[in-house]
Amino acid sequence: MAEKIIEFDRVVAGYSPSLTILNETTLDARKGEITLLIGPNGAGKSTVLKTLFGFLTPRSGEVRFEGRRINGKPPRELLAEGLAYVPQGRNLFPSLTVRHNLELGGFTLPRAEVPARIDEVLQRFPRIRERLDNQASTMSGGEQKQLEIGRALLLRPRVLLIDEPSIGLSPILVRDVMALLRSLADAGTTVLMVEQNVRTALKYSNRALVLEMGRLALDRPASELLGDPDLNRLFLGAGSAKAHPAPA
Amino acid sequence: MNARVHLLALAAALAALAIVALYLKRSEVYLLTLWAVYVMATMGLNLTAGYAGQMSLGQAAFFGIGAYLAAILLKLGWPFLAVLPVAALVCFVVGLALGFPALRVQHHYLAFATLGFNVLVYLAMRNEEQITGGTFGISGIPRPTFLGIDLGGHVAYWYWTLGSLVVLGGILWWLLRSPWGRAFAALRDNPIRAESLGVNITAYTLLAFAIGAAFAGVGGVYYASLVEFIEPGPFHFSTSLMMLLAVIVGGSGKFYGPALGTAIVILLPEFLRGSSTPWLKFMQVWYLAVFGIAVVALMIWLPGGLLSIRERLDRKGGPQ
Repeated sequence: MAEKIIEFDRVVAGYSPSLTILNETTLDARKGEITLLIGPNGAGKSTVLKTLFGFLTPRSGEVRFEGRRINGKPPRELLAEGLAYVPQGRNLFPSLTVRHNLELGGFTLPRAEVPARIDEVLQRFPRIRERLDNQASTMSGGEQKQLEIGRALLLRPRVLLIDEPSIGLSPILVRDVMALLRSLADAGTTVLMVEQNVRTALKYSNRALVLEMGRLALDRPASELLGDPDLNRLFLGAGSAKAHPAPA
Repeated sequence: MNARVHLLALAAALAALAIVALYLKRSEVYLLTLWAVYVMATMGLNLTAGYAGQMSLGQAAFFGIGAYLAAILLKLGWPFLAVLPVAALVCFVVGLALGFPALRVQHHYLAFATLGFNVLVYLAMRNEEQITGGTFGISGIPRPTFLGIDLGGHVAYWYWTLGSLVVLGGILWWLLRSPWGRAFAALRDNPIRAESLGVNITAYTLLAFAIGAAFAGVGGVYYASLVEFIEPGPFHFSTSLMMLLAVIVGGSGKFYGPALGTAIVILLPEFLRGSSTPWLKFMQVWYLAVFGIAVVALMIWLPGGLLSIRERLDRKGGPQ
């Protein structure tokens, strides 16, 4: 079994004192794997990513990255430590060009290093190279998602957190994005992904974690879950997770 | 527009502005200089509101702080070039402080917070008579000399102001093309996304206010020396509204937007009022109404400002 790179240990977090989303959540993501977070709306999937990336500070419990406690660290520091985050929805800065969007991905790097890093990313995404001087808003949905991921890769993160990468994309583009994430994981980048397009995402993932009411309800290999006839009920939070509980 | 054409067009426009002053009346050169002075302040506001997306209705307060500092220090015998960095620095620091509400509130709430700041500064200017002269103001503000050249004449002062505007514009151009400029744009487009890329949104929000304020402070110094007498009136919050209007009319978040917008807001009403062309004579009475209607029409048809006309035409020509 691959080593744990991300760990949540009985984490409690939410958006206000009266709104707790993560309710003593305990989970992990392993090195070089794609870990898929699924569950019904409000289960806390995106909140896991936001807490991990420092947008929310846990009220209790511990968040660890490579064994180090990172509770409450700001995103800037986490980027420097090797985490990158692609939030849900459109993440580009539409008024800027593609090149400027990429440069923002290297905002925390020394200025002299940025062009070489951009070149490195463009080797992986030749379509983006063709559009470098275009305004980001003029790109297609698939190109925009490639650019978002490319921008996140500029810092050579060890862990990529990505929230709903398939939103707004056609089925073919969704498969392209998933294949890209798979290739990143195969090259050693750990991916922690939240995705509503569960069946497609499971095909490219190593593990699936099902969240219900802010707790881990199920932890199973993705291939196993893909063949589970109860998948729809699990995803919709119908409670059948009790039949396959998460390991203690 | 490629860089060479851009530079040539800019050089031609500046040459035209320099030459035309030789053929204008004194009052017209004064108006041109007033335009340049206001452009310094609106360029700063364009950085704060247009590029960084932080609504501000307090720009006239910084313009006033710069003007009063200049009036006091120039009368004490300070050289003009020493007053400039002092005014810029003081406004930068006060601008930083004004940026703090922006960390808590946005949009119209922020507009009212900054408006309140403008009202406070205006009241201080009116009531702190020992320092500001109150409603009687400060008169006899000298104009500078530079390398032994007397800049007291209206044309000489126009050249001095125009040259300074070019330098300030160059600083802003450089700033906007640096990673700072990208960070400001990212802050405006989506602060959360910006933060996820490592942009310190607290620092950049404060900087957007502080740098914009410093530009206004510098503009205020040139204003004080231009008018040679200041009182609180020109620094009322209505001037902040006028400055914001200039930025929006020209094109918010567009480099030349403030220059064009300020020309419309400062020069156009004067042109309409002073027009002696027979069919424009009614403007001598109706100029403000016509100006108001023109602004309303512009905001309906070109909400992105005059410089967005090309984008609008491109959109019309493209697929619907």
